[in-house]
Amino acid sequence: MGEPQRILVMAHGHPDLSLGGGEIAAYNLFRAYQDHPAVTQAWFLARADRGRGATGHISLRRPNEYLWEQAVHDWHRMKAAHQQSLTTWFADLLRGLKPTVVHTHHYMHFGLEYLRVIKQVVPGSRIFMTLHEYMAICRNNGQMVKVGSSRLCSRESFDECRQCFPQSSSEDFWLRKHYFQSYFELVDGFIAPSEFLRGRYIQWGIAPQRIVVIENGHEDQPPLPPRRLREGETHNRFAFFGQINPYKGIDLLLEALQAMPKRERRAVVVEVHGANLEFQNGELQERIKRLREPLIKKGCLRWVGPYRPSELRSRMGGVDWVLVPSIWWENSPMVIQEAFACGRPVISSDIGGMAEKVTHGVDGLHVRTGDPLHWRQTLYEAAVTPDLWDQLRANIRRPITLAECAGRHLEAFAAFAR
Amino acid sequence: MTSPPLTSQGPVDPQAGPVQVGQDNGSLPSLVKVGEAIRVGSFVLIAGWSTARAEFGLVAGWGPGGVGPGDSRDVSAGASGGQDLEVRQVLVPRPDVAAHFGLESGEGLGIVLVAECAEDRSVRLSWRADGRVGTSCELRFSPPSGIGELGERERAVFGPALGLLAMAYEPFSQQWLWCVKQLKPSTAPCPAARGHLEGAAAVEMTGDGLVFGWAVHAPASTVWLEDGSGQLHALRGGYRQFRQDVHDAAGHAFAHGSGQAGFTVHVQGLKPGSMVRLKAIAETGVHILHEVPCSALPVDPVGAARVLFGIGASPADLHRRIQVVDAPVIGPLIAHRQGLLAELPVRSRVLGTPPAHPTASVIVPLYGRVDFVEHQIIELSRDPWFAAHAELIYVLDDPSLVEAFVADAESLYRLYELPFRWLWGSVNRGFAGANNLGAGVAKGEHLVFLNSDAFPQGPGWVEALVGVLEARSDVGAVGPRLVFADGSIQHAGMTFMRREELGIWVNHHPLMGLDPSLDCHDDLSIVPAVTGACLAVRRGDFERVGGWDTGYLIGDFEDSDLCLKLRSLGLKSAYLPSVQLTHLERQSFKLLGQDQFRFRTVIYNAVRHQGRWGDELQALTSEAGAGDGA
Repeated sequence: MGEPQRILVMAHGHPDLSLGGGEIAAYNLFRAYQDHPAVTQAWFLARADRGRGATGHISLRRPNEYLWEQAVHDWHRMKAAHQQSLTTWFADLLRGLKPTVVHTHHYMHFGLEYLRVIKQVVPGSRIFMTLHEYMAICRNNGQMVKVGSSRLCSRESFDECRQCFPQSSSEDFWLRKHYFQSYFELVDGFIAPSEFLRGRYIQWGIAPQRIVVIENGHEDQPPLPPRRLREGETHNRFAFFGQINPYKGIDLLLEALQAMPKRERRAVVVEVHGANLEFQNGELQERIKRLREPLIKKGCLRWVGPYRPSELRSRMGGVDWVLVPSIWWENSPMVIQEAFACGRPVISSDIGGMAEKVTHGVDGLHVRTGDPLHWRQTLYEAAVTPDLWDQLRANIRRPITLAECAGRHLEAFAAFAR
Repeated sequence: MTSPPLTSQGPVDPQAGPVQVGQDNGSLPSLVKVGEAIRVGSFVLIAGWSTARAEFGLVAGWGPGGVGPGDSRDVSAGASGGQDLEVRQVLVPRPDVAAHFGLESGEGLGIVLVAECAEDRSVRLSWRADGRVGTSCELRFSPPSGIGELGERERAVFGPALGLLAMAYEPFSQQWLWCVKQLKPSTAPCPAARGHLEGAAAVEMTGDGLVFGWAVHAPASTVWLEDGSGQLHALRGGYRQFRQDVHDAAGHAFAHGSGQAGFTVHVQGLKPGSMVRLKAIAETGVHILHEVPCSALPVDPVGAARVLFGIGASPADLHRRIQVVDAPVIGPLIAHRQGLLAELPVRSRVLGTPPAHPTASVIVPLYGRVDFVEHQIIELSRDPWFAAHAELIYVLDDPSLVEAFVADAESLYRLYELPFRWLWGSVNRGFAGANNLGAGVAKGEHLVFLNSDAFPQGPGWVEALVGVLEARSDVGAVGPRLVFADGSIQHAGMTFMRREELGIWVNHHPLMGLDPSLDCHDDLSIVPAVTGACLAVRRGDFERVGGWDTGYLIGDFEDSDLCLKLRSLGLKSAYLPSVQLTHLERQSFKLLGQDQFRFRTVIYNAVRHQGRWGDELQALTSEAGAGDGA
């Protein structure tokens, strides 16, 4: 990109206030833009919930970082709850900042209208959108999983979507797609963190030349040394890191452990570094609590609890393997990058972004999605197969740095045809 | 008594005493006596008794005792001339006479004669017996105690016979009506008819109502309705249908089979709250078969239609009933409501500055949902021709939408910066009324009517539709291709189809559901009609034909009706396949039979439609079959 860029980054949350992979990735990129020589100014605008509803107010969190109290009440239509601020305070902010690029990571909690306001108020600026999930394609939280079951969905259609949401008609889904597509036409280029996601969006209707893949960047830190093993101990310590929700598949791990006879159980230790169990629905909470108690007693399960981002490295240092048993597609889970950055092989489900970012037998292992017995088998074999861990660890490619990631983005922005 | 000479007899006075006529029958003298003779209006009534085997008649003359002009007949009667009147004769029992003469039964001894005769003519009794004829002297008439009608006294004498007399006259003729009026109705079971009223309802404001029930009767008898003010209404001209239940219960009571015992009749002049009676005439006189109070029909046409459509008639037959019952009741209510709408205030707001002299006005009625509006605006705001040459008018037609839409409209203008106007006409006016309201404020040379759930697929569509009207002076209405959400054809012109089982013509969408690549129309094509979901017309033509017709119930057929009105001006309808819009098509009425009321509403509207356009529908259907290139 020739001329110096003024970049406004938008995300559906500020990492100070809400911990999620998408927010963190967006914020890291914002910091990386600030450091990049081709960027004169960069700002961060995050949606925030300050406990007083969608007031539409914009406020300054610290220099160059703004918060906007906006919300979406109707997720089918993705319309902003506070309409007025779109063409008043948000428009004022744009007029004041005069960005050349708006790099947005979400429309969830913002609604889609802000895209149009950007084009209205700063017509010379370009909008680039990173897609972190499938919300435009799938009304079920953007997961592309059928409502009410964990069956995976490969492709949207008006009639099939209506089956997941019988209170809407298939015409309502035509309207939703019409709305999303017409707003996406205002976007000058899309970034996908995985080939898998890119493919899904091309299938949905984004022209291939308008969407590229750029990996998430990671802080430039050296890999961690292997865990110190005790006499006779193998690389048998496995860990899950992240949110506990139905899509993450933690119950599979618990079922896998439960299925192990004593001999196998003695050979493995699984740690769960998880957050937000208490926010899940009653059924899931009950199930997990019921499954984990005996396993904790038997010593093959350690329920460690949540962690702050700064603690993640040290926790990874204490384990051998990182587990990603998600039962949905996943896109480009940050935990995989974290694991590779720390030098830890990943054992993941064999679909979607996980299948793409982890290569079976190279830097990790794949397990049949949703299959607790295969998880049991894989965990045991991973724990007892000599040299496996070392071989896999040796093949791990470190993620690109944040600076590199920022650079790739700027190149992509230049490359997208005007 | 001595035997009178066997010669024609000169005038004798049967009123003074019994008069010999013909030969005695053994020991029984052959006598006639006139008891009562009265004139009522143009009728003369003579009552008496006779033991003779004779035929009796009445002869009218001119003035007292004179011979009138043209009285040349009956010379052989030896009478002084006169005109034989057409006489109805009824025999009634006279037990008193029987007793006097020692006869077993009084049956047939009493005679009542009724004839029509001008008041200034004299009347004599005549008879023929045993080969002889005779006439009486002029009869002396006593004035009736009732004015123009029978009083109590006369009714007692003549009453029983009038039933029979009435049955001989043409029902509802003057004579028949007179007889019926004289007879005091009885609630005793009627020997010649049975019937039942299942309901009566009327609209207070118009007096239009209906009465329905069933009746079976002997062929000679008549059954009719009488309203609260005494007006008589025939069942003939109403809707009749076979009733299995009636046939099973009473089908052969009076005749071979029950015929079409069920009836539904349109009655003008009914008053809610008053009694409606079903009456019949028999030899015994007038009988009240049944009576019901008249209930009130709502003055709102849809409310009234709900009641009417609930009254049994099979769908196959409904079209016949609609023509004679439902339409006369509902039609005026629709017209009245539409008339009221003209007085109601219209609220209007313009957002932004539309072109001052637009080439086209796009008019969109809104009902049920307003979220479609944003989708339309998304597309229209990308159309540079539209911004320069068209105005957009939204007509709110649903009170539940007004509050939300008024707020949304502001946001929509701020976001999309496409100027538009909205109107709210105080009440729901229906498709035709709402579109007419929009047309009334439109400034464009051309009007493009667009359903709220129809979405352009790109820019230039209005320009193209208007282009056809500008290039082709023989075309009055243009419509584009419409496709469903799944991309298949929803509209490629309309034709008419006969639904014989329902007795109606309906509008048909050929090629519906097909991939657009299978559309047989390559280019602009003349078609019988185009849909109102997207229809372009010159404003002048639209005004000349009086806009959309507002006489349909709720809505339907207005589009073909408009196209046919244009056709009567010599203007054709055209389908332009090169322009395509998406039409989600959620609201049309279909003959799918799920919702009874809507189903019957379609039939109602179809009957009205074909009542106006019957010949054209047939002609256009034949034309369309023969090829439809432009």
